[in-house]
Amino acid sequence: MTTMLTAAQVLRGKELLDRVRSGCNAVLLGQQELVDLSVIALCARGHLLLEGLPGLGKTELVKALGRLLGLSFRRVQFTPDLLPGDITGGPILQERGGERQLVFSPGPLFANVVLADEINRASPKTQSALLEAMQERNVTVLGQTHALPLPFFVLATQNPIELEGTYPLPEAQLDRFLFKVEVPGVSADVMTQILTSRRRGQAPALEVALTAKEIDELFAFVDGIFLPQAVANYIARLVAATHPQRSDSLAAVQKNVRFGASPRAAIAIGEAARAAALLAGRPNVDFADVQRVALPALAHRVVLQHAAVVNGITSAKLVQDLLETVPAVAKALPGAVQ
Amino acid sequence: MRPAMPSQPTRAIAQFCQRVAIGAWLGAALQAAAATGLAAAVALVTLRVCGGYVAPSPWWALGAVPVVAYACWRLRRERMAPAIAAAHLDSRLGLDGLLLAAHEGQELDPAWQERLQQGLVRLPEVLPQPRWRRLLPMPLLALALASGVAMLPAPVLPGAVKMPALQSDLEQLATVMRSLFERGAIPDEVKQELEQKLADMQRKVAAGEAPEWRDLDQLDQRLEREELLQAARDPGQAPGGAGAAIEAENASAPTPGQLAAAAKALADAGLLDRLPPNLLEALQKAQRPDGTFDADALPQDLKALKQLAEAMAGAAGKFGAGQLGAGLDGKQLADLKKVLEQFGQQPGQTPGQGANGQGPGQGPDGDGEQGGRGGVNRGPGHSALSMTEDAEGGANSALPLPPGRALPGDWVPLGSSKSEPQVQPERNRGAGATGAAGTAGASWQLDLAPRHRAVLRRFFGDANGEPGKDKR
Repeated sequence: MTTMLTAAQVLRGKELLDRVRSGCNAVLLGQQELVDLSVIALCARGHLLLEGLPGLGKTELVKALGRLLGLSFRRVQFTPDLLPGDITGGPILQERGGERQLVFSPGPLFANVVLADEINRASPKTQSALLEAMQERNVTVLGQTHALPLPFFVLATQNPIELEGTYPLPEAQLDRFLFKVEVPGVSADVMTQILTSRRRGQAPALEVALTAKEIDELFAFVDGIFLPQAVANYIARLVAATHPQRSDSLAAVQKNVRFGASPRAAIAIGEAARAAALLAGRPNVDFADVQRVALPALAHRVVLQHAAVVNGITSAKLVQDLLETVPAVAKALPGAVQ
Repeated sequence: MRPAMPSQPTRAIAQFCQRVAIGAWLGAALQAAAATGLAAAVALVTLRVCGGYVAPSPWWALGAVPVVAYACWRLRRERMAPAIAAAHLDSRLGLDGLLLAAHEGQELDPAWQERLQQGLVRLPEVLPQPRWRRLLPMPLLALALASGVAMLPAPVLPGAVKMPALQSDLEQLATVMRSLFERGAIPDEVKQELEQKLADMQRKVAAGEAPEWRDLDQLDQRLEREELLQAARDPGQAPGGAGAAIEAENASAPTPGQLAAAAKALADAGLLDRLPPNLLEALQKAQRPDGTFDADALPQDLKALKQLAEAMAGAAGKFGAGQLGAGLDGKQLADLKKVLEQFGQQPGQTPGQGANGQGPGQGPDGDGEQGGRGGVNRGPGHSALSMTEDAEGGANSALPLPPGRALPGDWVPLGSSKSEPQVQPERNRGAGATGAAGTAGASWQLDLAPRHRAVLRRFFGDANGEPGKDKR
């Protein structure tokens, strides 16, 4: 028998998270859900891809997160001519004591929080340089592997409307992101609030919300969240339902999906659901937590058929359908009872 | 009554599982009942349309067997695992996964424990309930339909009024039964049983169903038997036959005292040694030192006495008139004659015996002063056919079939038993009954079953199927 988090521990974890949340909400007005998902992604130690129109505050949010967590923060503006070495760093020739030697000079990836702004503008070669960093948390240059500082987060943004001169992220790259969150527009009320409370759109100055120790404590709390067997089974069934090869998949999935989500997606949902549970003040994951994080965790991992894309079908819509059709509990009650 | 609140999550989950199982069983049973009822209704309607009819029977209760079997099968399939039940119950109680964690063995903080217990207080409210509104209408409708179709009155078949032979036979049976009851001395339970049997057959005939001829035969034979029993119980009430016959038979039986006197007369005449050795031995055992015979030491049963009397009559039959002087005085000769007369076997005066005997036949077919039967003594009409010692079977015993021999197809088994069958041969009444009053119809009538009589009646009767000159 293992011990779950106590009520006090859960309360403490929630309080730490609320500090980050309130800081982000102060910067990004009217985007509570986006902020929550961002915080959840960070607590789950996953990478976040924000997709939205320019001017919605994506970069501001990422900068705020870096600031609030009190971690080292680097921003890389991705352009087509950006080379892998520009972000990973590389050897430079240095002269020391009359001797010349190649010394590794860390690139902007060597930070806790890396903002990859407009990541889809970089060439695939440069995008691929992020693969190892995002998955392995280290960088290999000239056969030498350099560990990245922990925690390590990549918070990327991309613009969905400017396709010219962009390189859509390959599936393998997308799979590395825990969440891909669509940044929604804001309402007129929120814009009024922005206009009245901000001069020249300047966000308020933020103080560091969490110390390094508190961040470790927060991660420990997330790790202590219990994932029940029934909920894990729900996650597995959800991910399996995205596969068109299965005979019991939805007709829409069988028709429109080319590749379903990988087991990494299931792991991502599980970890994100733990963070969501802590954010909700629970010592264990519930079905509701899974339903909350499933859409941003699955949508970018489901590869659609070309015909489906042409027909305007989105993977987000398909995942939403799955959430509505796949029952939370594996076996429903008999029809004779209610 | 609401169930008590369980203190442990495991008990709550078990209770939830139990409710689900009950609901599943009920649902499946009602579903099967609906299907069975509908099928039964359709079958009954189809049968009616095709001109058939099945009367309601207790065997229809067997329709519950597939219903229960299907419900049990569904219950087995839909039995819910505790983990699944825990998930359902957790959702219903709004415990946000706490019950799941507790079910999976997680140790809960006291605060979580308290929240869990608070949630479990609501257990009676969230336990699954059968959806009666959804479950009941179809089965009720189907069963009502089936019951309604089954309760419809039996159709009057065209052949129902065209069974004059059956109706006639039933009327005759009813007449016989009425006369039997009027004579009295019938136990009430027998009376009720007979009336019930007759009423059942009459009801069947009225409904257009043909009762088994076998049932008619059995009732007819039963009535005859009851007549005999009635006669035995109250000889004065017997219809001119059975009671008188029994009385005559008893009267013809010699008493031990008479036999003792006759034996003394025979002994005095020196004729005892003409008796068979076994009877002689029996007589010698009963002989006193003074030469008389102890009546109490003689065989007391009627059969043995008759046998002894017959033997003595046989011995005396060889005793001619010229031998009168051989030690027999007039009184002794009178005693001997009395005994022999009592038994009705005096040589030269027995009906049906001797050359051109003048026997007074009294049966229904007897005409009184008819001629004898050629001097061959077959004994009384009801006597069993005597067989040799090694002959198998007899009138009073069962004749078993050879091993491996199947029962002939046209035989009607009356019953089977592991014990020796009790055979009660019926005495032959009527014309051939020597020295006894006839009781009823002639022997050929008794041996003819009613169904055969009906055939003969139709064959020999008039064109309308009216009974001929049969007395019944």
